[in-house]
Amino acid sequence: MLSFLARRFLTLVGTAFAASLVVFLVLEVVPGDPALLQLGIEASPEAVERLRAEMGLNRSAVVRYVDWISGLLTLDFGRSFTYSTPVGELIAQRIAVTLPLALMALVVSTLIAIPLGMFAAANRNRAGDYGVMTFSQIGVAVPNFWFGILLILLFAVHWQVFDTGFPGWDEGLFAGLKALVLPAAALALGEAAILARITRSAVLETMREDYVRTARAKGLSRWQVMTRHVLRNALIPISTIVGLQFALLLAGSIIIEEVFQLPGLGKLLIQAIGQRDFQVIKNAVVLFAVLVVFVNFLVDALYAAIDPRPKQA
Amino acid sequence: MGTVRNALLASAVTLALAPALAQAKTDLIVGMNLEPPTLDPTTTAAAAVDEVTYANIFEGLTRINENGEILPGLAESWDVSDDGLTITFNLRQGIEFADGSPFNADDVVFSIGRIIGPDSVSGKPQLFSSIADVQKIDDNTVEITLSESDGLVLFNLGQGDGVIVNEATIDEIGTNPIGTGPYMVDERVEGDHITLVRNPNYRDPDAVHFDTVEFRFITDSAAMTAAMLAGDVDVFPNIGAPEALAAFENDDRFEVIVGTTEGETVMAANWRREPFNDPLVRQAIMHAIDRQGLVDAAMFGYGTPIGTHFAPHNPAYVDLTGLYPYDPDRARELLAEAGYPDGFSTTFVLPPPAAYARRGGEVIQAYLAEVGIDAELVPVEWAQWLEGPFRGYDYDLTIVSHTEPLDIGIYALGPDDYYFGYDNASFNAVIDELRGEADPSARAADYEEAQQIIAEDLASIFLFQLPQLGVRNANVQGVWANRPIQANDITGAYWQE
Repeated sequence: MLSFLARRFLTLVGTAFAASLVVFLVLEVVPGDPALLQLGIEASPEAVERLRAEMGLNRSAVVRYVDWISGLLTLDFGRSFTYSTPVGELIAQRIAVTLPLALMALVVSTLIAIPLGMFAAANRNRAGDYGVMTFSQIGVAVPNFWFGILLILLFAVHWQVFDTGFPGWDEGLFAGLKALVLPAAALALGEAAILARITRSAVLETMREDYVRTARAKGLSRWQVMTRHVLRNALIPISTIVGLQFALLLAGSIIIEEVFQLPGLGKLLIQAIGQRDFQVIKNAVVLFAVLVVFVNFLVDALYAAIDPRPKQA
Repeated sequence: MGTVRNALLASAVTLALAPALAQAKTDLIVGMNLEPPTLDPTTTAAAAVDEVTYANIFEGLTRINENGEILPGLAESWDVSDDGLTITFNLRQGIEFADGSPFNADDVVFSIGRIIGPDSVSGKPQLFSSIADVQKIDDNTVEITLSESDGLVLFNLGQGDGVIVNEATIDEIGTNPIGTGPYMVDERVEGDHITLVRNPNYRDPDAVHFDTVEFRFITDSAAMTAAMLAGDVDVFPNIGAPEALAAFENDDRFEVIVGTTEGETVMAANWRREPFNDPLVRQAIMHAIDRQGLVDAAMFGYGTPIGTHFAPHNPAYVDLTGLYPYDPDRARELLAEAGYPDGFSTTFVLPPPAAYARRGGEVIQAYLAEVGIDAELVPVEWAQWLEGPFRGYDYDLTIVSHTEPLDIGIYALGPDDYYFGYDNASFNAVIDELRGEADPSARAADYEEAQQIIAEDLASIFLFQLPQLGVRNANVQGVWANRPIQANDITGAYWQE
């Protein structure tokens, strides 16, 4: 187990390093001068040059990369070009929106999808199955940003039961969570649809196993077989997908935060790309990479809990 | 007797209720597209900074109103010497900054001193290049000396770039600006909003209508419309998307704001490149475009066609749209005469603004195709546009709105220093003359001559004046309709239920 953890940790470090190198090189070649962009077309060339120097952009690429990485090791992420505030603070502020949003979407989609998938499998080729599969087909087909706009128009504009934007956690846990409900629903729809299909096929697959027939034969009810034998074994492929979905939800949050105007990491990243705020972009991208690797690590650890076999392998 | 008593009672109730109704709302939420990168309007040219801080937080010696007129600001009056080279400002007395420190001549000397001269920290030092020196005469009097007379200096000192800042707190001006205006910053959540609260030391507390003013930053136009419709934002002074206005036009809860801006929308045709260096080709392009048709299709009818680089609401404006009117047949003749009987192919770089640039670009492409010019559209982001066409001079055709007030002088910057690539000695001479001219009627004559020259030369392909389009809650009054400078001066705004 220890060597498993060590290996995972090395993967994490390696991925973060690779991500840092890639994002830094991309930012080197991408056109656009952050100083000129910030000052606008009427700014004097001297003012632009002065800002470039202030941003540290007149140093060589190698110096800037080494500077960044050594800063990262001491958890110093530098200062945002756009806001002149520490990037660490900005990201901490933003992740307090994005992480709850992604988790909420994950919980919602899982809570909807697993029962639906099991229900569909249990009623294979009957009306209930077709109903679930139709829902899932629609869920996969509908783009989440469009569904998000629809939710805003219905719940915030028409019925006015939700507000637009994000009040901040200072306004209380309930107000904060309430503001995340619509975006989480928009994010969850597509993921729930996919997960329901995966659950259905995983459950069907498991139901064909001999031990399921044996369990039925020894007199367990359908429900007992479903929960004790089928679901537990079907959870391995399901949890893999859930882990992957977390990465997708983080990526999806970039668009959803823009649609719902939530001040999260995704919105910060989009804006930073438009403004060429290299300081924010590079740190946010590395953070996304680390989060995804970390979640995969959690999923691997979860396998061990669900199914003892991979440990010996 | 009973009726009298009832009437008295009723009026007493009305009287008691009236102030409650009038003061029903003490906060205002203002929506903006772009977020200010810093809160120091003096060192940056970014418009969003002025749009939050100007007049609300910081004030200048002079002050520009909704119609672009110069009013007293922190200076209650000024005297200009006969040679036009010395301006003596008489400062208002008893003014305090938001931190309680007194405002006096030293603050003016400090503030003006840091934006002039070779070490100027200004984002637009060219606005103040005529100022040679600033001297304190006494605590309430300041003298500014000019190196040449400058008819724009009083206007420019009234812009966000010329406001009076506080020396003691200058190091944190970017995040916690301390000015003399009615409001000060309370909270800033990057990427979301900035909240202003009353400046407790403001000279005239009764004139301040709101306890809090929140500037909320919403980039997405669908989200913008939703926030307005849901009542989460009270006013969007500059919505930028004419297509979004339809949702508000027939709704009594809202008023659509249509005003003027200083934004001349022009299509630059690169003078450095064939065939755009041929006057016949330029004329052909201008004849090919129906400007009113362009405004109708791209801007939903909002906007005024222009024939030169000058704002139509300015008294010195000359309407030169008739010089090369829409005439596709004439355009084809001119192209043939220039040696392109079958037209030619070119590229057309489009920066991001969806309404005027992207949609406008498509409309222009269609007009050009009518006369045989095949323009391939190249949409780019701002960063790419600045790097390519604007600074690298790398483009055939491109479109942009020049939003600075009275910026006709950019055509005199020459081919080495500006993306147009235009060079005309007689135009440069007029602009030179204008620089040293303070007499209003002489300035107007110079402006008219300058407009005429670039219109005849088609220094750019002149398209239309960008309108100011916004939306407000019908109960919010006193919001600027026009945009003479980059500002959202909400000091005159109030709720009227």
